[in-house]
Amino acid sequence: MAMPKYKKICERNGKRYFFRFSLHQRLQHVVVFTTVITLSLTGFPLKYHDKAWAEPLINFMGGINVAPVLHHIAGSILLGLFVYHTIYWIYLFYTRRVLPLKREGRLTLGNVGREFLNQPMIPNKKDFHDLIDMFKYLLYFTNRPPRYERMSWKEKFDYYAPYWGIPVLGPAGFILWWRDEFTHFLPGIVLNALYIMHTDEALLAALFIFFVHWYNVHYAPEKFPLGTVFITGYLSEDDMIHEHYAEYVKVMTEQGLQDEIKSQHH
Amino acid sequence: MCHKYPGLGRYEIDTKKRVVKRVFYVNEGLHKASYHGKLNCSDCHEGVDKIPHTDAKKVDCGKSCHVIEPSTGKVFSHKAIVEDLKKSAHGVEGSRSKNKDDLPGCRDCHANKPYQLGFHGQAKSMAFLQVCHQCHEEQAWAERFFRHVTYRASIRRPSAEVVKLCSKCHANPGIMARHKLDVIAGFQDTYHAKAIQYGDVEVANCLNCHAPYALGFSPHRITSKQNKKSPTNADNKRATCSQSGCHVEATKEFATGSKVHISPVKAARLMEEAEESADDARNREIFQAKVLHWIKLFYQILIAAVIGGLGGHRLLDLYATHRDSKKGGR
Repeated sequence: MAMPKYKKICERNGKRYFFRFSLHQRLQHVVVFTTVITLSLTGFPLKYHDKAWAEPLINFMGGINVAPVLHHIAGSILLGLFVYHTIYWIYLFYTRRVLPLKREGRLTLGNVGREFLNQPMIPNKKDFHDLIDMFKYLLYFTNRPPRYERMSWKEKFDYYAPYWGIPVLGPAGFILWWRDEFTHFLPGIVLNALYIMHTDEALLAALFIFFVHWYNVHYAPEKFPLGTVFITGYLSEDDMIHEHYAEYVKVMTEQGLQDEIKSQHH
Repeated sequence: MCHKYPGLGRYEIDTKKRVVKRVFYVNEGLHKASYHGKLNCSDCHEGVDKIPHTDAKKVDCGKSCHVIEPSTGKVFSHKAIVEDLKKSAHGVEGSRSKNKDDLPGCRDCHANKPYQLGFHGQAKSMAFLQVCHQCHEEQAWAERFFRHVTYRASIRRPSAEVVKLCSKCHANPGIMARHKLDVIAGFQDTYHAKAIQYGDVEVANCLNCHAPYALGFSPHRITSKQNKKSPTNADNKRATCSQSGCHVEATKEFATGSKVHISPVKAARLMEEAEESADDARNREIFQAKVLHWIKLFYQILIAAVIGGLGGHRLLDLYATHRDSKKGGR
């Protein structure tokens, strides 16, 4: 996979923007949100069939004979993406972390484990301290907000939410889709259990995405109406200071701009 | 004679001491267009010779009509169907309930409606009728015959109507309690019910599983699942589920292991029962009800915790932004 090189900082109209997500990652996000929105629009009218909005919504999505087909297609794509993404990060981990260890002759299970835990996306001790610092800040104990690294605990939560949700929702949906065939080797009551799990897990996912995640990127006063990092892949200096101060200082220093580092309260 | 006057009727006090309005007006046009339009009043209403009709007998749908059944040339009667119903779960002989008062009769499901075809059926029949008229001179007869056949050949009751009809009794807690049955509350939560609600005409309604014509049953011969011949009996359910191209790949486990429409009332009752009955099937049912209950509870707690916790955090965050903006910082 030829990875395009991204500049850590790019300047536009005298303003600095910091690299966050590659095009490849942004495209995966596009697939996630189009399928998840489709799945929600075609699925929830069935869960909440007694609500006034349910019937107009399912008719908008093509009616009872079309909406389930869209649901199956979107679900298959999302499940496919999940498998692809898992292979993608294993590949990245292997080429960027394991192969260098091999070259240096330090390939032991302990070293690989340590490298694994050192990845920016893996929750660590700092996240725990950040969480405590954040509550101190929110509850007036301090005026100093936590200084997040490349990935804050919020973003890790956003990332692991689908990593928990899709393995439950996807296979459950797939089994309910091919319910006749699966009863050749599953007890029938599993279908009843999965029916509850699929829709309740979906409710959790939808509430999380449309309230919590969209608060972070759409509704929050500093983001409203729309954070653009998911389109451009770059985050403005202000947002970088606000959301990833530790990473901001690190990147500025790496780029030889330590004299121009702004304070967290500027 | 008298019944053609729209004002004819009276107020009566019924057995429950409620005042009810009874209308005795018969719209001739509507009656002529109905299934029984060819019959005279006295064909069904026997003993109406005196005025007022103090000698009128209750209408018996099982009596012989004056109509000749054309395939056998014999006098037509609904007797066979009335007998079927008697022996079914809904009839005085077949019902296990001690309370025979509110078992349904013919008229609880059948209202002598005018033949109504859908728009397309209507347009088609009108064009095709011209073909009939080539040989059958009596136009009214040809039209009635044609409508009878086309109407019977199409789906007479849309699924939504079937559900509504069965729900008249089976969703009525009072009636169900009298017969020691569970209300069909669980059906609303099935895909079948939801698809029917959204206008799917292919999906199964009550009758497709409880009285499948394809397997030789009829709505007049519905029986309890405890009856060995019933389509909902554990031994026959696989055939019922896989009829008409529905769950063709379904196994016995699909049909009997899963619950088609779990009654919340029954589930709640099972939860309260101890798991030590001697009956293994019963124990399994109790265990399954508990597992499903735990899964629901788990998700309720998980959703409340995750969304409540993060929602609370976002509120604090919003307040912090407001607090900092007042100080002039971010």
